[in-house]
Amino acid sequence: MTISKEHLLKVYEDMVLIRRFEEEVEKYSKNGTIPGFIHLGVGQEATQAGIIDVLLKTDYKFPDHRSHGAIILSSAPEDRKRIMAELFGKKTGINGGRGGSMHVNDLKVRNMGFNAIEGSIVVTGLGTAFASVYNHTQDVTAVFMGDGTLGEGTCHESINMAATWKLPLIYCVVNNQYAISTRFTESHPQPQLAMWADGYCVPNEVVDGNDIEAVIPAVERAVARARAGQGPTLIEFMTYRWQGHFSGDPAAYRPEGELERWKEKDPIKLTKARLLSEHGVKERDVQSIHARVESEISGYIQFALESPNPDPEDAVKHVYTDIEVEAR
Amino acid sequence: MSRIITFSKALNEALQQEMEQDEKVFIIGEDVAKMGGDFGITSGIWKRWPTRAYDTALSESAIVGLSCGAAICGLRPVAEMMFADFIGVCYDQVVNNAAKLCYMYNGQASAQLVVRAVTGGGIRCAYQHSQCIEPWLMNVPGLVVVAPATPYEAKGLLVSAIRSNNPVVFLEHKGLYNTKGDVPEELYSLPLYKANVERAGRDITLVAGMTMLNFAKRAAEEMAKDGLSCEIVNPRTLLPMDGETIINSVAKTGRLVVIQEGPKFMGYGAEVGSMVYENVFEYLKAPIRRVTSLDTPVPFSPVLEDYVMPQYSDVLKACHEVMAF
Amino acid sequence: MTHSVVMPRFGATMEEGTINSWSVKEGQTVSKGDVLGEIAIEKLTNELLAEEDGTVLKLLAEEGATIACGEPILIFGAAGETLEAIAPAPRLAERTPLTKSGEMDLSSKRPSGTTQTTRAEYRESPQITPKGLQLAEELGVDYHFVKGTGRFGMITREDVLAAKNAGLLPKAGAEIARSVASGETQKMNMMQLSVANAMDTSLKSTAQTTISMDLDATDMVKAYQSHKEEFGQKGIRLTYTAILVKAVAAALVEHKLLRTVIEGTNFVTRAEINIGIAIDIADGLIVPNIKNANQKNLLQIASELEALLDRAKNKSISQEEMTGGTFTISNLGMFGIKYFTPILKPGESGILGVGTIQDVVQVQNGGIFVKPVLNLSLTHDHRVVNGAPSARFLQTIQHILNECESLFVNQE
Repeated sequence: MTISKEHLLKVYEDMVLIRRFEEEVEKYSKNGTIPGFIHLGVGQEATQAGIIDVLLKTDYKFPDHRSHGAIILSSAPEDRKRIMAELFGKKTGINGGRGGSMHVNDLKVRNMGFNAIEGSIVVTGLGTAFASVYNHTQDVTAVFMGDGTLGEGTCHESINMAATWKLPLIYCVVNNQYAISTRFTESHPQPQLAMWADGYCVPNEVVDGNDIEAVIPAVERAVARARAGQGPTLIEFMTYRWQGHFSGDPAAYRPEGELERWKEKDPIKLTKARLLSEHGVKERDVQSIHARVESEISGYIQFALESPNPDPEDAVKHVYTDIEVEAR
Repeated sequence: MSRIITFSKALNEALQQEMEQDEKVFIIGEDVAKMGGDFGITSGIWKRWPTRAYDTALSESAIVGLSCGAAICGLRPVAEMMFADFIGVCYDQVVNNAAKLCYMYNGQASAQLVVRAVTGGGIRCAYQHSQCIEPWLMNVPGLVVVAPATPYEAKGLLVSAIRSNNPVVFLEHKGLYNTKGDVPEELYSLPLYKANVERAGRDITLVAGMTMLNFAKRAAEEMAKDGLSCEIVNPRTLLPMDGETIINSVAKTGRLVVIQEGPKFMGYGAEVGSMVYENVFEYLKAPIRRVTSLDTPVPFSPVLEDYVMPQYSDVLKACHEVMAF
Repeated sequence: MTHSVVMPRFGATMEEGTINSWSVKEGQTVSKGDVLGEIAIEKLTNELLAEEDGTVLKLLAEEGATIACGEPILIFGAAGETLEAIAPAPRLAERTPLTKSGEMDLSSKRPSGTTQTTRAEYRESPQITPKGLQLAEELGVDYHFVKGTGRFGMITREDVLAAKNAGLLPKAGAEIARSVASGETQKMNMMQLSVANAMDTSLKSTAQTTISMDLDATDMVKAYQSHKEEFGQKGIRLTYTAILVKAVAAALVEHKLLRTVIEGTNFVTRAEINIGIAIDIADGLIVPNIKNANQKNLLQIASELEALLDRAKNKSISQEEMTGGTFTISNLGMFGIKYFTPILKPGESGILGVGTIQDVVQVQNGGIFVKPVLNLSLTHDHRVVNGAPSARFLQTIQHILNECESLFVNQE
């Protein structure tokens, strides 16, 4: 199935936005402006953009640590600069600077945020899916997972329960080949991780994660099943991360030439080629997309740089809903 | 109107009466629905509300994780841990997930779940079915830990726990399930975060909860025969603890004996002692004393288990020691 | 052999049982396996069996009573035993002393003069914290006038410190007039009781009377001045009291009557010359003695005296040191007292009261001289020794002290 030119142009812009966001974040992380760890998703844009493109604002989304793209795209445009501010740890950050890169959440668009313990959101996702059924709504839950995540026991508990109760859950297993330094073939017996779902009688498919025109239909299929009350689906998106696990990881564990081969399959390059060749889009139209993205991104950066730091006493707020913790 | 019922029945009533009031409340756990729970606490609920009672596989992490997700969506899950020891299996979900959700969401959503956990020893069920686990949880900001001592408290505190918007671990000491007490028929709640002064006194403050409350009451009666009066403070909520009531009591009496089941080292008695030393050291007439279990796992043979559990004779001994100082 | 039989736990969840009926009577002999009674638990009935041969001594619960598991329901004894009054568990007071009041507590941690809390006493609102009280004692201030800002309005250490720094607190003595209005009851300790009794006994059982003399202390003062430093270099403090002890001990060798007492219808002269020293301590008076003072040199006496004074302060005088005294010296000279009538220590016939040394103007051989004079008051038991021999004893002391230097020999 192919998607329309307008749709493709839209998701192309989405992917470029992610790419430029990640590149700027890498720069500000390396120069020390962004504190802590950063996990970059350069090279995985098609997976992130495709999943978010299909889901509705009312669907529950659990991004993982490598999902800045999914986070940006699911937020309202006016909130995107606040996500950059959140990574910078500023007061204007969408969570007041208290979470940073790994914990960005925005409940009004049902971005449920990430719990840094791998596999945790896989069971929390059970709860939002359960709530949809309990409340008789059509909202589905999509959980971002990695190949590494599948080692956790919670994943097994989750898929077991979701399948038994037919919960509207989509397991988005983004297989970028490596957990940190361990190839998935060294830690799992299945040649394709999607097969794991067979053991739980859960429909599953393997998809080229760098081809947005393969990602979107696969997600649409899973979403349709979920909304129809047919239960969970697992999609394995084959893709690759260009950087190391975290920004600064030299990734010496990768064999020679592997990165170059995957760079050939750059999702943005592939989609641009199609736009130009199959949809008659002009180079200058593509350039204007890039220009638009550029100006947006520099707006985010400027906003983040100029924003103030949080008040230290904010650290004691919201530990409980009804009790104040004493500040210093 | 009140009548005498068991601790178990009081809990069941709290659940059923609260479920009548609020359709967002549901129960989930192993054998909680059709069987009514391993200890019968949830009996009758599945029959009344088949879509609000869920039996799960043996998946403690999924039980609590699901409860977290459902809670953020506005539901009020009451999950059961068949034995509090099993919280070890899903400890991550309790301390890393549930406890931190409200903070992570900047107060925009809350983890309004209850995890009922069956706690405590004395029933000859050995290592992994007998522990008092509150110390595992009390060091985690964001959690609420509640521990009733009587049927009256069981009902009132469980209702408050369900209504609370914070994640509550509700500790039910299995040794109390068959104890009886006066419990009003109607729906009522008891405040969280508030200790109860069970008995007023002048000479010694005894801090004791759950099954240890009985030790304290017995000791107070015996000390009274010699003209000494003990004040008994039952914390009821272990986290956040009502330190002020305890501190004031010790300021008045000048002497403190904490009676807690579970190992002494880093048991909650240590925190009570520290609070007292930090705040009212100059009011003290004697060092504090703690009466606790031994620092061992809980063994099976009655002779062994009874040896490990707190000794009533140690309570009297501690009282005499603080009086004689 | 006697032991209780408790309500058994017939099932894991059983909390209590009802005694449907007893099958035995008090005093009845039974064999192992006999039915003692019927216990009902909800709808089930169980038999309570005797676990050994013996006698049912006492039934502790009536038929129909419901008793919790583990509570005693029957007292069982050996065959043929009867029930003597079973001694109740010893009352708390006999097992453990709860407070230290009522004992002569030489190592009491409580500051002196404090009312001890006994079991019966009840303090409605404690006014001062233990540490606050300790500080008040240390600083020597009367806390009754300090405003308490602690919990329940109690006076805290900080309150005591603040009041002291503000200069608001009166020294304890100056406010006696005001504090008297409140009055105070204090239970006597053992030492105080014993001293009171001794005084009473002494006055009632002897015919004591006092004579006094102004002793010329010229030579004594000279000797003291010249030997003071030498003693000091040996780490010993030389005092007039030490010199007097040696002098009195020497005089007692000759004047037996002052070391004679009446026992029954006999005069008993004591061989040992053990000189008692009356020492004023925090809440009373003790009189330890220096044994065989006549056989010791002045170095030894001075050193022993110093040690006794120290130990008296720490309340660590031994029983041995407190008994066997022959004659006592009581020195009130440091208070400016001249003459007084010291009371005999029971079991002694003489006590020498020592007053101040002061310079007085004396006429001698028509000339005017300034001499140091020591006031002495000797109380003697007139039943044993009359005025004249007592006066002669004092004269001997004067003679000895006129050659005070001689007391300083044999010090190696």
